[in-house]
Amino acid sequence: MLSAPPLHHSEPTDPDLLDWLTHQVDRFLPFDPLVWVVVGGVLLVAIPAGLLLLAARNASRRGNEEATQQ
Amino acid sequence: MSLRNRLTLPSFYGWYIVGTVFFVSLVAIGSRQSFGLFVETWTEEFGVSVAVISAVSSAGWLINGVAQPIVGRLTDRYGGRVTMGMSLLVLGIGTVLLAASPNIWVLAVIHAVVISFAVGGVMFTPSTAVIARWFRRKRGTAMGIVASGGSFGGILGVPFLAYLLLLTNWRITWFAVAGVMLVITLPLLLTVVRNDPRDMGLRPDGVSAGDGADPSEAGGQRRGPLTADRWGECFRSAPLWLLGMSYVVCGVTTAMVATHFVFFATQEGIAPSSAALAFGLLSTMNLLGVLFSGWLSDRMPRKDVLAVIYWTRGAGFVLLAVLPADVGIWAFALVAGISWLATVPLTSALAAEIYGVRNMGTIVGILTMMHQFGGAAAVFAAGASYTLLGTYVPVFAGSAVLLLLAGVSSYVVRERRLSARYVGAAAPAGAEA
Repeated sequence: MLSAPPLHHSEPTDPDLLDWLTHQVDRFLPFDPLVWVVVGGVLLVAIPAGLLLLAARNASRRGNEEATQQ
Repeated sequence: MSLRNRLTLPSFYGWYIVGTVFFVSLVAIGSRQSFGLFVETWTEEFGVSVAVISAVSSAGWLINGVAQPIVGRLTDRYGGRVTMGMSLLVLGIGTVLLAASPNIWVLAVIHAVVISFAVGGVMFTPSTAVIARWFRRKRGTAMGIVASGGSFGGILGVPFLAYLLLLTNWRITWFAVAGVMLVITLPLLLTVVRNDPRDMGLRPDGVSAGDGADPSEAGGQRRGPLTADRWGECFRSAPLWLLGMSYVVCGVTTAMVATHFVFFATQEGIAPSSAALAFGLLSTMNLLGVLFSGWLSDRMPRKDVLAVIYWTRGAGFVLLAVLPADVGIWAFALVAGISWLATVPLTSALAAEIYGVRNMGTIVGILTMMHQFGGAAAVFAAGASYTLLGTYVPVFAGSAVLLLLAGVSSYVVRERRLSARYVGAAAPAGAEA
């Protein structure tokens, strides 16, 4: 049951699937686990940083447009 | 349209909220899905059986189901930003405590109660309620993108944590997850997300001045015949029960497959790796399905798309029951996979458009609780059926029948008459059907 509890909202991943995927990834992209962790870590920082920058730019542009209209 | 224009960043602020809530779902659901990675480590470190950790996980599902209407009510009352922010804070602190657990009992309480409840506060109940306030014309597309964050969390987050676990240990891995939640995700959420476009002097997507929207109604909607000022009123009308019945079947069929699919395949002589790969294909198809169905539902009646989704999943179960298992599991993964998560944005959007956005969190929370409980019951029922009969064929056939009924239950919702999308003035662009 634990290997794949129900509820597609948040069920844990099947360990067999994960083993198979890890094996395939290692086979075709034989990098050290450290490389994967660094790449994942960079993405985890880059995605929110990018979102923050773009949202701030959007808000700033909107503020400028409103100032111009006034 | 030139390439330059295509690459122009979205000018509507709501899309940045979609991106942020997508990321929150990715982190929260990705970390929750990784629970299975740690079973072996915990059984060795704490000297307990897999059954004990299974019980912890099971308790967590039920607590998560109970949490849904509560966080939904909090969302309606205090807004999605506060509810999701507080939930993410509790989730992050809970994850720190999980990483520091001195024994299995502390770990059990933290995971089953604190984390499982808090995850409910950052999942689809509050997030779809926020999106409904920001989007009217492209509501299905936006909700589909947010829902796909959970799928991406499984596809990207779980392998990432598996490699991190390989390099470090389970405590450091969970501390790292908590760090991502508290240091990166929480500030992002609080900085970008706003409960309502009116807070920023904006209108929801697809709403223009003088188009008949009720100014007192969130989400730029008109009031429909069933728009509820109090959430309890919804129980006196048919659509809630029709959508609820369909959603219970959704929970029943997805839960049963998630638990029994690989076991069924191995019982039929298929290698576990092949069965797991088929289940992985199903997960990938669900990513495509949730994005496509959300987009499609902005262009035609949502209840029609929802009905087709249930019937498609039903066809998958028929294929699983009648085809030889080695072909059936692939056919099932391809056909039923498309439907897997697609019910979430459509059910949420329909609830918002029939009952209004004001009480949407509570209503979607109740529907999700029904979904979760139905799923939990189905897992045990399917297991008992297999034990008694020695085959899954009756379970698959029964699922197909239930899905046929779920499709009918969705199809008979009188969306054109009851949905704010069709009531009053002309329907939003692209929604005429």
